[in-house]
Amino acid sequence: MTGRWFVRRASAGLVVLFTVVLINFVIPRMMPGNPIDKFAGGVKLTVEARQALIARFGLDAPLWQQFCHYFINAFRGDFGLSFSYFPTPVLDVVAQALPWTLLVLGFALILQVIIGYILGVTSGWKAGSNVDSVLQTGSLAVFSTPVFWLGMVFLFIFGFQLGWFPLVGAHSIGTEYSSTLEHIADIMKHAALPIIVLTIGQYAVYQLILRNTMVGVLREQYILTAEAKGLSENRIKYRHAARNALLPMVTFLALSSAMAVGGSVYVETIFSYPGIGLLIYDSVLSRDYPVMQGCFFMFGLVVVIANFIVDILYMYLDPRIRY
Amino acid sequence: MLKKKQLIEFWRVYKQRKTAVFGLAIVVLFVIVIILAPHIAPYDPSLTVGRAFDPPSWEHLLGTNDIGNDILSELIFAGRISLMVGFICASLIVMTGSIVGLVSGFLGGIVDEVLMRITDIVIALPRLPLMIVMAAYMGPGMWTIIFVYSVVGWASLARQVRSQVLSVKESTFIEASRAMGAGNTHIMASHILPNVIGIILINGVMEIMFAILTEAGLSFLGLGDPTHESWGVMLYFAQIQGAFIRGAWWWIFPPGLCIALISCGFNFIGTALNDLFALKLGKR
Amino acid sequence: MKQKKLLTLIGSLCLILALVAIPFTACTPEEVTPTPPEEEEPTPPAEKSVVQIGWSETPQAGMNPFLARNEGDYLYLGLMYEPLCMPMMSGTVEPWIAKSWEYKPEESTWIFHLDERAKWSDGEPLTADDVKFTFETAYKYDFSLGATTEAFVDSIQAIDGHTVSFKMKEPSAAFLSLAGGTLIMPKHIWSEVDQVDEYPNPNPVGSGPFLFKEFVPRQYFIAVKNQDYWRGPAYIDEVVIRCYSNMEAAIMLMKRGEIDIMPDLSGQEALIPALQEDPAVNVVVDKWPHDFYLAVNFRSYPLNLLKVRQAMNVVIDRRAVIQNALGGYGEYPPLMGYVPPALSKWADTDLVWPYTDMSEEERVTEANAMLDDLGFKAGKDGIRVTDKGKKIEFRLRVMTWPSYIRAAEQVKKDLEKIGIECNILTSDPETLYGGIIYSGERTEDWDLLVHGSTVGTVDYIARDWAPEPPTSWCNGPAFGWENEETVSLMQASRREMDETKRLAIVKKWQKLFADELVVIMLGHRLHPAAYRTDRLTDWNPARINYVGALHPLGSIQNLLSVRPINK
Repeated sequence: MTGRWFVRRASAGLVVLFTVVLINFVIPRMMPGNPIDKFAGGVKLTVEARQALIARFGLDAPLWQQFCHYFINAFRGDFGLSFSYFPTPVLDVVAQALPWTLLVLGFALILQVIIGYILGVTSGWKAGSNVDSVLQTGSLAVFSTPVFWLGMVFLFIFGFQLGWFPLVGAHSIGTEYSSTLEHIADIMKHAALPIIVLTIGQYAVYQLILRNTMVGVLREQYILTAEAKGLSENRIKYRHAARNALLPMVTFLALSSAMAVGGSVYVETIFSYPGIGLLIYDSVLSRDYPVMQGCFFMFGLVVVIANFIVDILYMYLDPRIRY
Repeated sequence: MLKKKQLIEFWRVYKQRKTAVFGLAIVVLFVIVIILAPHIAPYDPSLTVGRAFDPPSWEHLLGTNDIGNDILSELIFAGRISLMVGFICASLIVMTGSIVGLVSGFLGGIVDEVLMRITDIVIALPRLPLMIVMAAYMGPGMWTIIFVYSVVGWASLARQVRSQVLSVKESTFIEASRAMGAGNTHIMASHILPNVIGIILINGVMEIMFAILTEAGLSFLGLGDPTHESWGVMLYFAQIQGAFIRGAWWWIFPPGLCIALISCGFNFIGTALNDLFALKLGKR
Repeated sequence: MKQKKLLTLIGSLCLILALVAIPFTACTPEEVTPTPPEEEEPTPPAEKSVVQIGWSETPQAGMNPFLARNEGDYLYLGLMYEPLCMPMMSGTVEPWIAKSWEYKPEESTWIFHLDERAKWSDGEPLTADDVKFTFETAYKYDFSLGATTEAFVDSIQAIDGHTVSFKMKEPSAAFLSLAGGTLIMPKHIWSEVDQVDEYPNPNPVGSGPFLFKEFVPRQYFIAVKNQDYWRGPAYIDEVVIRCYSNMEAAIMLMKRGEIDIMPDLSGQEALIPALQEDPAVNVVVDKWPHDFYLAVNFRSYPLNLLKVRQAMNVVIDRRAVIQNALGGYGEYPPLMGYVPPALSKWADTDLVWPYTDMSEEERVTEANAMLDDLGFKAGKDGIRVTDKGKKIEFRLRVMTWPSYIRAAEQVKKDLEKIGIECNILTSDPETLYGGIIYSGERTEDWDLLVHGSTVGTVDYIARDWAPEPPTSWCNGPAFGWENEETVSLMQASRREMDETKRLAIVKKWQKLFADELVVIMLGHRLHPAAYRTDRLTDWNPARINYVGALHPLGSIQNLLSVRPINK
């Protein structure tokens, strides 16, 4: 059973990645002009130099040949060479950036879920009360605030004005650490603001979903039974009600991962944090199209893997589902 | 007659919710301000009317930017672009999303299968990076943003509409009218559409919010059109022209607050509608 | 039970994250390609002195000097590699690896005598073979490193270990200063490399005063002092170049004392006051060989009429352009002859924009009078109509960079006053330049263009406007401009060996250029930079003029000169 489930999930993921590669291939070729002009990045090219580049990137081959070539290379992890870091393969550039994004995104996601969970349970348990409406309104307001602006304001206040956090980068440069612990502390200090901003920017969704399902669950028969049995409030709240309300939240986690990675683009750009979010931004600025495509692919991969993990989570949480 | 009654009833319930009324008030206020922009704005936003980086004063209520433009006037005119982008995007998405959803749900079969597979993929794609990639190739601009947002954004609505259509389709009164010889178009227009209108409305309102937020974000990343200044473009300029380092909070805070307020407004409305329709559906 | 499961799950997720993070963080310091600093002295210095440089981008060439093409690449690579000579902004050329040179007119040959002390960081001597190899490889692969001189050179010969000769195809005065744009590379390393154009050069061996230590693209670059540097070691132990996409953060770090040098603040003019208020920071403003102008498409009517260009030239408010677009950091009034004032030896200062004393109304009146002379009457909407019955409406193309857009907006505003309508069309640089202006395919898609460029020397200007043979990617053909007299003068100025005559020719074509208003010059960007005075002393910013230009504070002369202040 698990084998079949695995195959199904994996093929769904592959289809997504396939689409990403397809988009990467098609879009530049749909635009007016030759993709090679993008290589020059505004630099004047002689006719011969242009021809040489076209030949070198195989752009004079028939379209279907280019397509096959591109696909095989993409799934081998070969996205060509970066324009702006020229002799470096795109994969190297992207691989260097990926761990930083995973770090920030991962911690932010965990914090979002935890905070959303706690607030959602609190709010849903007392649905209709003042606490509930304050929590709901507040979260809606926070959710409406643009993440990048939140980042700007946080950088302004906590970075520039108060000086509590570093302004740029993922770690100090040229410092020698006396211990691994110190090294980790330094890294976490740099990651703190991005994580906080991402968390604030997106926790609200989880809270609202949890709250609404919680309200529904509380009306169900077995909760009433539990109450009648005289179980303690906390026990009912966290053991019975919230657990059942968790499922829609997890479903949403899967749905939203495609959107959630977007936050990292803003946050990394603002805090000059060297992950793929900043890389895709930089590559757009410097017109480094291969790196840009590599980043897009990598984001796709992150989303696919995240969904995979969520599926496993789901299996853990819902006893009814046995794949 | 019934329609009017329904509307009155709807408004009665709606106005009991403070946040919903508040949201509506914000949106109405903003819309009035941007319609009357040329009459309200104290200056022409494109002219240099003061010293650079002047803090707020009676002359310039929100101060000036790096070349001495009045920020309040800029803010009012930028609202036009932001809201316009929001409305256009939302309409496009509502159109595509509901057509795909209706067709898919109603026709079923192979059409449904194909459309839903596409929808699944679009939903699973990383949204912002996809928009960035597309915008980068198409060149920066307001219409680019509108296009990429609409191309990427329709999927979740389509899925919701489809499932709603499916649930209505199974219900007895459709079968009854089919038995009475009603055609597809008739059934679609008179039975299915009224039932999905709620979902479309809610999504439409929320999409305005998401579109405004996304436009601001993409503009902030430099993919916007600097000659059509929206709130996002204002923040982009503020960021690169040194608003932080010069301590010009009056240039950073207002555009962000405007975006937050207007999306809050739409969000409150959308949430209220959601609850109201859920209530209505629950009753039936 | 379920809750426990959930907890373990969250716990294991955290663990996974930590596992991802830890090997990565642990591997960061290991990425250092080990170039063990040769510390034979048993007494290590108490504290190493470091110069921190803030820069906006990673070197595009990576560590491969053959691919170097902009000033950023030279900033990084110039620490480790050196050129034959250093062309200075003032017009002189100073010796570097070559201690002297001579020109043999009868053979059209430049001969360079190399300094015998010069050697590579691995101990090998630097010889004429290395020079020959570098230039020939650059020519063979068409690298930008040699692109500047390729057209002149017929052949290169190593006469003896320390003498190398370049035979010219025809007399060329420009060669000497252009040769300074080529960094010399070790033959014994690079002749072993298979694909020179894709070699990442992970462990650079150079002749320069600093040795490669560590490079993380987009983040930082560290070089340490070369104790055995042939001209005598630097006073500072380490140079760190930190790369920022967020310049505000970089400026904040400078105020906090974490950055010593910001070699280039142009484009960031609005941020400068924040540095000026700091007593420990010195902001310097240099002249720069830069032209900021309105280019005209000569194919479009009525822009090809001199009268129309003159009217535009009168009415555009240069002071406002410089204020709004360049944050006040531009030279006013501009020189109309295309040679910017920074190239003081060549620039004709008589060709200054002549309307400085006129008020705005006077200028508008005069410009209107010019257009009235042509018989272009204004329609009901205030826009003039040409004799062909068409409204004067121009497509004003511009890049999406803020300073360019601000300039375009000013131009639009000013031209409106004389009944000319402009539609500003923005595009990203590569669509604009690669697709529209220089592709030769969409020549009708634009009328006006706000354009800026760092022009280098007069020889570069001549190459850009009078290319031999003509190609679409040079300014003259791209803008649809033809003028045989000016073009032949420009070509002659590259060949003339007699300095006085050369100057006369350059002045002559400047005059023709200005009279014809080939471009409408708006201003010349000045070059602000900043450094902290509290940790280092003995600053010696050298104004070198490489391919584009090198920033004085980041120049090798400066980094060899600065020393830490002993407290």
